[in-house]
Amino acid sequence: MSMKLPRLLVTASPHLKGPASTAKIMWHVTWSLLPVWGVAIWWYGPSAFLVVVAATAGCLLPERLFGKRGSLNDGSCVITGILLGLTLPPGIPLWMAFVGGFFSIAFGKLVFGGLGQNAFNPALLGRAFLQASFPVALTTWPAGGGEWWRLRGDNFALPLMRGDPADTVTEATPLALMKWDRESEAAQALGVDDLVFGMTGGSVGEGAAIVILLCGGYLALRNFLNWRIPASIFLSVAVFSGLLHLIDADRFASPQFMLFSGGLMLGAVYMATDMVTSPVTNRACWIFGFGIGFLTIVIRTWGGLPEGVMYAILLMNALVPFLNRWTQPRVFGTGRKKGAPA
Amino acid sequence: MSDPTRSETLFRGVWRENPVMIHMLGLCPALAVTNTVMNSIAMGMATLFVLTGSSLLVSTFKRFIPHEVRITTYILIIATFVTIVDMSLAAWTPGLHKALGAYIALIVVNCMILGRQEAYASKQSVGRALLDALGTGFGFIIALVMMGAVREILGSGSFLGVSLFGDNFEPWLVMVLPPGGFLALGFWLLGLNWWTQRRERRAAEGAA
Amino acid sequence: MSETVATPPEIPTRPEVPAWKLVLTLGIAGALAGLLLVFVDQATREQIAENRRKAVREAVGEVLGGPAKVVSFAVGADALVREAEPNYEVDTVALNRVFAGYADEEGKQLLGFALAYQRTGFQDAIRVIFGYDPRTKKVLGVKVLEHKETPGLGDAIEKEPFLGPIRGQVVDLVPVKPGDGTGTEHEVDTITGATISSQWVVWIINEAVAKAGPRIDAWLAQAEGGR
Repeated sequence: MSMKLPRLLVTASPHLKGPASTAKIMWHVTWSLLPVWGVAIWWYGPSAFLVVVAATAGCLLPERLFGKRGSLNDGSCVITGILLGLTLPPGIPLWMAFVGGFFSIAFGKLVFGGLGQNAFNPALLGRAFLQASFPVALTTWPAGGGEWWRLRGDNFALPLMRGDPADTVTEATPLALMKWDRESEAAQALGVDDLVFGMTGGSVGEGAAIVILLCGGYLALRNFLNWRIPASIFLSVAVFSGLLHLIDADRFASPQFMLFSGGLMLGAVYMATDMVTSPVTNRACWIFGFGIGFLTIVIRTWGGLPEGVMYAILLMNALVPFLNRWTQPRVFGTGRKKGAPA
Repeated sequence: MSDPTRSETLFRGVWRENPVMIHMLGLCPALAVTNTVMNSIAMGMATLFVLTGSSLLVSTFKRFIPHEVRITTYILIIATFVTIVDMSLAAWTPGLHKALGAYIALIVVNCMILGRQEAYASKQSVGRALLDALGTGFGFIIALVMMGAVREILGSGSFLGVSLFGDNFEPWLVMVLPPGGFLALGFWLLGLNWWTQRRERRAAEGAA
Repeated sequence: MSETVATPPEIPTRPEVPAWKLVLTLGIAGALAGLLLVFVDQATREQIAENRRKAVREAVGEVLGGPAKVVSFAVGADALVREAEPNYEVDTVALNRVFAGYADEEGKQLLGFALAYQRTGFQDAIRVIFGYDPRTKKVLGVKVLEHKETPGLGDAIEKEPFLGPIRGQVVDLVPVKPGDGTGTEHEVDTITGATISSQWVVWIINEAVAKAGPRIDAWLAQAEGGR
């Protein structure tokens, strides 16, 4: 009853105004995604370009129809669209990418009240919806490289129709190889530098880990993302997979492999650090990232799917309000103990 | 308060006080078995039968049912009708019985049915209770079919088993799975509330 | 004291109803409900049983590849008991009855036996009926009678791409991941995305053969010895 609320200090003007605004941050993040997208286009050809464009279009439409006036300009929709596009397989029919984008914004963001109100990362929610709806299309990974102009799948399948599988040359992702096909030649030949610099099978934007890391480093330097989140994710992934690897190197993949394979880089740098759905206190950020890393390893190692970053982040998103509450810093001058005399 | 007319009693439950879309009652079957239109209709009809039969009996015998054991008695009556439906479906439409599975037995605990007994049939004349039960039951069928239509069209690409989009249709698997029930319900509630609010706003603007 | 406490507003009390009256009401209602249900049960019982038998009869024909003649055997404590008329009343928990299918009307060329057995799946029992040739220990055909596995994933166990390749395999079956097999006649490829459900189907077949197999073998030895 007698708990003191921290007071907000309000002074008379003039105020110092920071240069950052929502729109500015969002557009910066958008620009920083372009190199990642560029690498994807270089590797997967026009398919990578089209999938991201379709997902972004799917995001913009509901924001334009149902969103607040002017909310298109803050750039958050474009980020969601590009991020969603980057998590999809390049050969996916474009209408699916569009539906995913529409779901992301309409049901992942607008139903909660727009930017800043949503509990879950909209791009990942859209991807989770697509994964639950079209499991086959979402796990058909076309091979990269080769003739640049070639489409990597039946991108132009008619709306509501399934793509023609004959158009797709598939390639197992490193994680799938590790989970189901460890003895195969492809899995043996896979080195970590392939994962860091080279291109492996997977979704549009999970290719070159190094590019994602560099872009994320830039954002962290500009303070547009909290570096503690990716740092704690990498740390916990390294620790847990390292422990497992030490216990049984034959059964569990090495920490380097776990760090640089699949969507971990993209997820840790761009998805987990989403300002709306990540915690506000630094301590909570450490816990948040730690949880994501741990869940990712658990899902990858014992789960039914080869990749678990998406579900790990969504699960931890759900915990963010609680993490925020537990880690409220003590207000200077207030009691250390609950119920101590003021 | 003036007494509602007979047609008001009948039509109230169909739309304006629709059990699923407005009262949010009977959600368990509405979420669980609406993956096809046919299942929705069958579940709706079974519920309509149970509701009508129970309301009829409850309003007929309301004077003989002591207050203290009324809920027990209602449940007993409802359970009897549910068992009748269960056996009849198993005998004459084994396919549907298989599709609806345990959810037929679960009509017993459909709060919409018990709610109508407690709130209406136990206080009104037999005729009124019958009208109310029919209206509410049809409202339930309509709501279930609305959900079933969305889920079957997207989830299986068909309506009442008739294929709509041809062989190449890519089914939205999630819609026939349990989460699809929640998505379809949320979608309809969103749409209906948006529509109602817009209409009210228009009416207010028109009056001003 | 009493002045400071405001008397609560009078709640209208109902007249006390004697307990015997409550019991009587419930008793009468229960009796009437019971009576009604007896009539409905009378009217539907035969039809429900008939539906079950029909489903089993069709399935037996299917998994044995269209036999000309079917003989049912009650599974006794230590031997099979031949029944005069084919009886399709099957208890898949107890495995109380097996069926022999013959290619000819006289019952000379044995096609194999049909066994129906079940186990608990993710939601509810998975009931499987399959044909089995006791001489070669080969599975002849498999049909899932009933299951409530996840639509779109687990329900692949009732489909041909999974069930087809089991035909011709030899009991004991061994579930293997697709591609992991070494090509022996015991292996059955599980379904990616429904690994557990498909392992259960394999388990059901193995277990049913383990339970009824010795008695079938004994009957076979006797039948062939007596000829």
